[in-house]
Amino acid sequence: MKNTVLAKRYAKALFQVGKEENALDSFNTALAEMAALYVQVPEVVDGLTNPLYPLVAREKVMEHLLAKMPSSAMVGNFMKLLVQKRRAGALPDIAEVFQAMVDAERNMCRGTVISATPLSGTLNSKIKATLEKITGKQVLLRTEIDPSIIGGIVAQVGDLVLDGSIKTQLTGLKESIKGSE
Amino acid sequence: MKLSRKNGLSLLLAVGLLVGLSTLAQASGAEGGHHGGITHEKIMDLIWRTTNFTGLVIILVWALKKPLSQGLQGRRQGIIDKFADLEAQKGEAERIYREYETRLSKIDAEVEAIVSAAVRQGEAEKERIISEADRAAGDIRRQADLSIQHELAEARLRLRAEVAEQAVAMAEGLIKQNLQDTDQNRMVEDYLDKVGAIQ
Repeated sequence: MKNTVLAKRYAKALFQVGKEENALDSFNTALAEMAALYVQVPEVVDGLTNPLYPLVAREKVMEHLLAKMPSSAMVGNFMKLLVQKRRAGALPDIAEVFQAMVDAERNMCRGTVISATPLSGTLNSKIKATLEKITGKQVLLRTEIDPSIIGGIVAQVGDLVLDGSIKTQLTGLKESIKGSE
Repeated sequence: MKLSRKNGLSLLLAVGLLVGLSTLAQASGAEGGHHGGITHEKIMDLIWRTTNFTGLVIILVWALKKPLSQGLQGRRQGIIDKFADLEAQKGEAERIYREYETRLSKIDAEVEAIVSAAVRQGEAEKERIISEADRAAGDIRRQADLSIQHELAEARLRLRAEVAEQAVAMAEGLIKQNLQDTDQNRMVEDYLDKVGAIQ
């Protein structure tokens, strides 16, 4: 379960420090890598959050992980603090919120474009330009292929969703037929 | 001393009997002692027996006169009392009879009133039951109408949904079959133009 308030609190603290040290990118990268590791490897979750292990053992797990990946001392201390405060479970949420804060700081936002077939570079650029025009921010797009939408695209940036898929149009058509008298 | 009528008659009978017997004795003496079959001793014996019987009767009358009189008087008084008692009972019975007659006449009126009230109540109950039945029948009819309308509406919706599903399935199949990359690109571009124009 997401704990956005908690994640925002920790992310905000780290963000201020990173901004002062001009190290937002390195912090962001380290957080993202650690969050990915946490999500993908169940043993990491167990080693960092299982209350059956003593705190010292959990700290050693974190130290071992930090030793294996390049990160600044500040990020290392932040990770250890999460373990000490028993907040290691919030690591993926903190990384996500931190990423959003960094993007907002740089007037950027991240989005996803789903299409039924791979889109050409030209179309991708046009989609990006349209989304940037709409949001007023620089958009970093990630593309996905989903044949179930049949045709068209579904673009999502933050809370904004642009659904131009054939699937949605057919659903609308179906509801229209059902609702028509 | 005043003799009663019955005692006088008895005494008169006894005296008559004695006179008759003495006359008979004199007549037999006048015939010269020749009695012609009835002897003097027999006549004297008859006179003696008659006198004896008369004396017995007088003694009996004298001895039994008072108790018999008292007994008869008591009996008479008892009968008179009995009559008076019976008269009183008769009067009481007549009074009770009149009372019951009055009550019966009132009971008839009461019974009539109760019967008419019961009839009125029955009529009212009948009206109420009929009205209730009419109302229930109306409710049932309305519910049936509503149910029919509901079923019709549901059937219409189901049919429309089925038609929509099939139409959309057919459209999806046709689109998948005929959609080319150029169509896909044009569709995306049109959509982007539309979205951009709105903005």
